Amino acid sequence: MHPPDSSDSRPANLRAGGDVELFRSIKGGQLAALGTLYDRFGGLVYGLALAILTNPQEAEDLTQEVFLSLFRNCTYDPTRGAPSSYLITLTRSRAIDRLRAKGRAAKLMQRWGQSRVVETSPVTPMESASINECSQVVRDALEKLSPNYRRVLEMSYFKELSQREIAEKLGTPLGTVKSWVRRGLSELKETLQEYVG
Amino acid sequence: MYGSPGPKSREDLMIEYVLGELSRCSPQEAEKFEQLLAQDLALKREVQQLRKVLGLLPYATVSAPPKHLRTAILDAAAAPPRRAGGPRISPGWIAAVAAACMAAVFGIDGFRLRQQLQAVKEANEALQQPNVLLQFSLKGTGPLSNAFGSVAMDLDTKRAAVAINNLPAAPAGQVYRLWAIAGNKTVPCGQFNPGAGGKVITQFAIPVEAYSGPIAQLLVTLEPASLPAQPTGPSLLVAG
Repeated sequence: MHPPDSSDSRPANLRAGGDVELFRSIKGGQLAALGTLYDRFGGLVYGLALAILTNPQEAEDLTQEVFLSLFRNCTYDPTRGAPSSYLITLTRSRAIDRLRAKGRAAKLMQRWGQSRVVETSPVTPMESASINECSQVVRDALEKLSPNYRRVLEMSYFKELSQREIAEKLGTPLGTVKSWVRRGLSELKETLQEYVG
Repeated sequence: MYGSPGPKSREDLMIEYVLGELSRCSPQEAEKFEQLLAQDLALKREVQQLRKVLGLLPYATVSAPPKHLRTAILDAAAAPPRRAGGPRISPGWIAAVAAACMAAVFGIDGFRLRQQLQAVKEANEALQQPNVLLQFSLKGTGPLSNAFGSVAMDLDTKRAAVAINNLPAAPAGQVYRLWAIAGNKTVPCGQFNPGAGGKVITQFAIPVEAYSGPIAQLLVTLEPASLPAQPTGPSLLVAG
């Protein structure tokens, strides 16, 4: 299994291999390539959208939006990183936008709609099979955490809540939340050491 | 009840930074932390590791989509696209268009155009992981008419990168400060001073939440090192 975020000295275009070719085909308007890409990454995009939005219909809508945006105007640049990381960045960004659009930050997010350009972040690519393997490894690592540690990390990452907002939502002192976040991250880093370098 | 603000430990700052809440809630603290990061390789490595840990979390959410979704997506892709909100443009296009506009409007010669393109490239490179990118071309005014550059803003990670050429050294006790005119506010975005040869290449956290509307204009002014909350000096470079 490729660690999804480990350093890799090979050029990104070599590392990304088949996925990069797939993106090229998509840029060329090949529907079949879109289908293959969906088969490979659909679970990652949909699962992340569902984790953030918590609404299956909205997660479906967002998954469709992400894949259609790839097909119609793909801004993925293989020299900048792995396709999986690009899709994670794109999905998380758009999901949190949607979440915010429903809440207090609606005005804030709406105004960027016309001028956004989405790019990827440089991390190691992952083939479809290793996405599933990696998924299991990360799930196991999260399972090992205390439920409180896990909950605060998920609230922070998937909802982009500050530790103060988490403290308020949980009715827990800020110091306790900070401690849970700190210990959670530390334990997770230790468990996943092999994949974070 | 939930705790009062007090001095934060280095570890607290690092975690808030990695979670992105330092940039969202306290851009100035984020900027200071980044200065610390630039000097402390061990801290930088720790930050990178924690980011990687967080970056793995989405893999725990992998979930099979409903079966009908694949067909729906492929059907929609096969249909003619609906154009809404204007075409999406790539940073490369932005750079090229910005440079071409500069050339057309200001009559920049080929050398200046190449320099301008280089400034855009440097601003992009300074933002190592841009996710949501706005790009502006800066043009010097008045006594700084030879200065020009580029600002890239990543609204997702709430960071800006600035590349400027031909900027004279700031007088003692003063710094150059970048401002965004957004909505009805003029928001301070960061400060800098040129290095050797009048060149600036820097990046810093930006207070995206403070922008109460689209960014209409960017300004660079000379300000006292005390950093007043509103511009006190004339606009020396403008964009937008």
